[in-house]
Amino acid sequence: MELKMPMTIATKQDILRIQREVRDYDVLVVQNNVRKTATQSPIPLSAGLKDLVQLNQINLNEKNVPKKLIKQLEKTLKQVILFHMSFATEPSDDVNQKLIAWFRKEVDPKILLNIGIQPTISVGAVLRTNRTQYDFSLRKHLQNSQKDLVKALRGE
Amino acid sequence: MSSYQVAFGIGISAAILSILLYLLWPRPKKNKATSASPDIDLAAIAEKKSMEVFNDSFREELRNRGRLHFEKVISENALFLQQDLRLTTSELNTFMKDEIQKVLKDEFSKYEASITSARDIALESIKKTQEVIDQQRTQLEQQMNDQAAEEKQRLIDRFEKNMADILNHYILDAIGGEIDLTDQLEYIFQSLEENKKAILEDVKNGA
Repeated sequence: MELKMPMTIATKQDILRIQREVRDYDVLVVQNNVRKTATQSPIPLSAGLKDLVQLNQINLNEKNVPKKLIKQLEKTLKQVILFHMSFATEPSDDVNQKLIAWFRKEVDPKILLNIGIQPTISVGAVLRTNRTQYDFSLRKHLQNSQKDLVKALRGE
Repeated sequence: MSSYQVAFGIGISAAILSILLYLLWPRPKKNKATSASPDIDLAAIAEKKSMEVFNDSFREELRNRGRLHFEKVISENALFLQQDLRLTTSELNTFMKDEIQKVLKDEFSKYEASITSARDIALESIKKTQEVIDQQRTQLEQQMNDQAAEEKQRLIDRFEKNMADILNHYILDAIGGEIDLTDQLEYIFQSLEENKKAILEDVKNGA
């Protein structure tokens, strides 16, 4: 069964961080089971992990579930489709989620997005798959409109 | 009268005077006592008589006359000579003047011709130089115009070629980080939608 990725998990680093968090969580569960007398306070989860377990209806407290989840995450990491997107400035989480939502809905649910900063992109973005680079920047737009600009400059 | 004629006159006069002096000059007396011939006596008598006619006073008179005549001839000839010399001098002056004038005229003509020729050559040279300068100026002007047009076209081409970058640079400078990415989302999603098919193709072919 394939894991469904929540919108809060957008990048490869997110998956790696959640994998690490699940591993820590598993260790904590084991430790709590060993210390039966200890107070079993709820272990705080990150937003990404929380969304992941909710979306996939996983109970991390069940035996071997964290280990299975770690394996599934490893498997997912091998299956993900990684896109790279550059902006002029750091995009907000809201923007990230909107973008990842569009990609997963319109293109493929396994898409992850690496975000980069490229100050020369004044407006727009540059998307890079491992096959093609799509330049949605203003510069590219102006280059495509060069003939019209020249015509406008010459007053034609 | 020329100087040759004067000299000839003087020569003739001198010859006549010499003959007269020879004839009138007294000769030494010969002893004729031993002569027995009557012809000889007659000759002696004639000689004696002639000596009586041509006595010293007569001879002196003749000598004076000859001297006067000689002086007169000499004076006349000197006058002729003087006149002739004046005339010759005058003619010589005229001749020299004419000759000098002629020579000077010729020399001036040659000089003028030479000056004219030199002036023509100089004018021709100046004209040719001027033509060359004009030609070079025209070429240079044309070359400069061509280069200016070429440079202008090159600048325009470069501007047009890099127009997108230039505008982008100015926009970047003008807006900097003022535009929030949220405001750009519509444009980004529109671009994504336009390229959706290609992106799907990438994923399908193993993106």
